[in-house]
Amino acid sequence: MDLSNIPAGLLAPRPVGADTGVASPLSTDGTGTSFADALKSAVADANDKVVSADHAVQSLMLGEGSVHQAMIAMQDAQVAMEMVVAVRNKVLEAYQEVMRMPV
Amino acid sequence: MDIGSLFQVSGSALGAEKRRLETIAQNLAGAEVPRTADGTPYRRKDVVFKTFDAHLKDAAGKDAPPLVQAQVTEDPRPFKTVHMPGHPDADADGNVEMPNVNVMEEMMNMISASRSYEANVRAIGATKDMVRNAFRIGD
Repeated sequence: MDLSNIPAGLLAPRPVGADTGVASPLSTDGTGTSFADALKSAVADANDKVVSADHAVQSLMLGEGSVHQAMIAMQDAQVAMEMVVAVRNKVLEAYQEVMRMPV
Repeated sequence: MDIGSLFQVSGSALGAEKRRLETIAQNLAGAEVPRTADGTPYRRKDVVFKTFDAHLKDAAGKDAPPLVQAQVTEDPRPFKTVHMPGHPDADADGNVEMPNVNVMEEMMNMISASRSYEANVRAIGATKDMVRNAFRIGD
């Protein structure tokens, strides 16, 4: 197969969100952000939610706050964590798919 | 509207329903109290729900919907007069003023409050299930 017939733009690595013409909400300079940065920020976000759920449970144990607030914080954290895990699974799946490719 | 603000909205309603149930419990406890600290019978408390804008922003920077809160008011209905001549708080005619609490009404409000709470819990559960289903797309 002749790779020279493929337009150069298709093979060049592109930042996430660049092809839509809309800057990713995570970027500040309008050039988009790399997938690694997006993943890092999602992980940090999930971690923040887990930490705040932890605080909610602690304040519940200390007699402050209410049961539903703690439960909601925990659910929020769980959803965020599942989101990150789903993305990780997809990435690993893609990686394994590439690794299985006969050379 | 993102998932976080959906949880916030349902959570604020849970808080308001909890406040309502607290008020009902207080009314039931005070239903037979003819003399409180200021000398009058216990006056029934009522809750009024209202929305307030917490000026929260969702992940996309849009305004999150307003939250719900409960405000406690006093019931202006008159006290009940009961004829109990032997009661220490009885007046010259043997009448005692009793709280304006109707236990039946409180029980009805209690059912309403706990069912509304349940509905909001279901809404949170449904939101979460929806998101989890979305994660399963492509499996």
